[in-house]
Amino acid sequence: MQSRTRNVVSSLGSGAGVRALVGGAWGFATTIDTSRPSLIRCSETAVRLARACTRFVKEDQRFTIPEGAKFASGRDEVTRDGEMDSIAGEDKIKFCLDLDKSARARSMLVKNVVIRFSESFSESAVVNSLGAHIEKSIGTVYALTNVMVKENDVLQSGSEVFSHIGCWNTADPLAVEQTAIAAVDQGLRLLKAKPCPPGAFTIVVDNKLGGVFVHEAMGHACEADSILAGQSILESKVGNRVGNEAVTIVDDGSRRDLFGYMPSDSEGIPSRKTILVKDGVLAGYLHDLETASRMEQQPTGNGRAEGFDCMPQVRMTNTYLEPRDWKPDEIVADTGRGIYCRNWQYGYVEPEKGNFMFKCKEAMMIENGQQTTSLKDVALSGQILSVLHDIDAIGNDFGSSGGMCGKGGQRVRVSDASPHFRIKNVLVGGMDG
Amino acid sequence: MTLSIHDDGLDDDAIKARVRRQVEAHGPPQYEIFVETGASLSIDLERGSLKNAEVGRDSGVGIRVANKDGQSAFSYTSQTDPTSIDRVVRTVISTMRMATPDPDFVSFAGTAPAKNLPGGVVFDPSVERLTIDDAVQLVKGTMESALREPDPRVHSVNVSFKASCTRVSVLNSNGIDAREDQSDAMLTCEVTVKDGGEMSSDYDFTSGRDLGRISVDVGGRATRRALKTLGKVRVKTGFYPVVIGTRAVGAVLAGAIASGVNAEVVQQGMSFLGGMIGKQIAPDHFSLIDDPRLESGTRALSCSFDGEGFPTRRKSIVNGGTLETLLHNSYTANKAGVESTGNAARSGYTSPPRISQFNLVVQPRRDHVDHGLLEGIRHGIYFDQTYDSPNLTTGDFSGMIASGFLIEDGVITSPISQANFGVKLLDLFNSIEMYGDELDDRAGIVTPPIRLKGLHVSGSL
Repeated sequence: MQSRTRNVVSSLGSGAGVRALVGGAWGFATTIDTSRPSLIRCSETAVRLARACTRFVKEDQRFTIPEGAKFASGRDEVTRDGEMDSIAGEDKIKFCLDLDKSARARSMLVKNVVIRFSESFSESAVVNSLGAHIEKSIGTVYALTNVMVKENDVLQSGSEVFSHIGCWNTADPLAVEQTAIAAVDQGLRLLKAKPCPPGAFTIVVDNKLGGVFVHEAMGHACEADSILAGQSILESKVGNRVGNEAVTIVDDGSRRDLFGYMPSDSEGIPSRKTILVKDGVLAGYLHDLETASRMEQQPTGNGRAEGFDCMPQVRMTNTYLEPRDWKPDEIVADTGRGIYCRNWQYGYVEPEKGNFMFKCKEAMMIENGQQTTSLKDVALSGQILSVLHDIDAIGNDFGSSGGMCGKGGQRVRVSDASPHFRIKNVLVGGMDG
Repeated sequence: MTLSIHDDGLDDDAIKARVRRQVEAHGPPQYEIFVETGASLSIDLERGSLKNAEVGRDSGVGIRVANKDGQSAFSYTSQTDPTSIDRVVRTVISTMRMATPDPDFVSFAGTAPAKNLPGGVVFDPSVERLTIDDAVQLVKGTMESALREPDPRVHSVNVSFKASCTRVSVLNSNGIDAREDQSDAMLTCEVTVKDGGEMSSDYDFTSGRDLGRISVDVGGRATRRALKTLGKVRVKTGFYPVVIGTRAVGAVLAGAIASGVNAEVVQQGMSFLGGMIGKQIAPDHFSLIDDPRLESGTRALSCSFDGEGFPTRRKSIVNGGTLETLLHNSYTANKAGVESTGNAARSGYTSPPRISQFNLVVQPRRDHVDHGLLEGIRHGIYFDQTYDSPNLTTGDFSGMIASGFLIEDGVITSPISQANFGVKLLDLFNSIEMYGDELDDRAGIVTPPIRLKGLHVSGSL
């Protein structure tokens, strides 16, 4: 079948958001007209909204941002203006068409391939009355290959993602091709997969699923806005043991090699490494300016907005579990009966209930330390306060996956990473009743 | 500082006219111009304290062009000044020339007899006149409602309100010229409760096209819901009789079917419902309607025309258990040689038209509606909520019961902790036994609770 384009989309947009803080209440107004009169009107609106709200702020929730916070300044240019156009659109389309052909050529069982390739470039500036004045320019590439395979009457799909900081001129086309091939292979393996038995299992997770596990099981509950709203099970738990002493979890937006990288956040605070769990003990939360001020902590550079038209929220950046000393193969070999879970479809958490769940793309039954039957549609769920105690082996490897995380209607770039590790007693919802 | 979509000086007719002139000046391709102007207001109350207020104005234009070879492209911009419009038109035409020919592309949406829904169905002028003080009164009233019956177990109450007004207009080279004003309002209350070491939470919301649907009583309902989730018990893994509550029907039943009949997914060979048209997929007492022209209730997704400007219409997706239609936009309809069902959907001017359902209405046959839906269930599960979604390709669905309760001797008793489920959707559809007699109307799904013969549940006991 002839490869063809379906939606070729281009866009152009700009605007400004102005936020005003009056006695602990925020007013926020946005405009797509960045002329001086419009920006002045927008600022006036933000101030008026904040003033209208301030009389309804309870005394114990009033706050000001203390002086002394270190704001970013200068210019951080990850991608230069014009880099996106340094490779012609025709060449990018040809790359996608060739990618489609490679994926189809991988197996006669491939019935359809859908590739979503997107490249973006944005320039932004954050300026505030406390001293921030930072200009940033950054490009990203995100490519999703979705493959449908069919054998006899059995249908399956496979999908893999490529994510990259920088425009296409700095990306590795071979790495994208590998993700497309991996999507086909995944679909082919799933054709042979059996439904997963339900119940509680010991599970071993790979780098990609492990990263999402850390993000969902711990990261969201550490976001200090949910702590202040009384909506996190981790409220008042700093200093408490929350997991096995081998567990150290970190968020680090300054890691340039990971997809959640940013030099500074949307409030102008430089990105940095923040330890959430240190040797099994809850060490701290992720903060934006407001939560740090109200909780008398330092901001951690996690105030992020999807765009100029969104209020910053406390968000993760690159979140990971630090490696330890097990070789990945040894973890599987050491597991008598369990499930080896690979890669993720999606995950979510309810920090206020302490539940999280995620779905893996594929899995293998482990019997006597050997991977045996291929399994499909494995859904895993657990409870935040107990699951980190159940981690009993952490690998010495490290791998990440980049994606988009949604919260409060906003989506931001993140990456999740981890070594292979093992968790006991995880509830699995499979299809095999 | 109101949500007026009339006083910001943006003239959608002028924008459309300029785009049209520019496109026609560059050649004869087919075009489609989608213009949206809108204003929104939102406000959040955190633990009794006003946290923030936000107003935003957004407008923009999305342009699709195509030529006789089926090369097509889409561009959008939020900048509607003449220079930006000219630039985006040049971009979309040059991008179109990079696209491959598509023999399946025939034309953008054609004209059809169209009639806008009566005034007031999708637009309530009182939303446009809302002020920040009105919004403050709504969130404070909701908070008071949530705390009306003091209970020491209530740990936090958070309330948010959002309202928006939008003018949508679509013009294309086939003669479509449609315009509609739409309004939306939504009031949400989340209540977190604590009892000893147990923490739990629930929420409720009220939403609709008009302010008349918005009631501060949602606060009290959220508190009552949250308190009911305390005292969780674990359940054993097993096969349980199940009642799907109205909050879960969208994810596990109505929405799953609607996603499975998305013609784009079917044409890509990626739907478990591909090839099932005309076949029985559910018991003969089950019917499912997609009704964009609902004039009563919340009318959450009612609208007169779809994302391509094509008139919407009511249609039966499942009739007496038989799958009757796929949901089409102009592209998939032309490819299949049928008329569009008017299900082109856009999330604003920034997206080319995809396919989606509008208001889904579950219609049980009367002889299977029973007031005593829980009667006769000795030991079962009330499946209240899930945030999971099925694998549309295989039709397998596994996930977590995010909120659920035990049914014991025909009565809902304890909330359950941590339980997962797994089911083949076609098995689930066929296991529908009965329907409750109370309809719930929320976020585009109108349904009663539905009783199933059973579901495999993994418990942690």
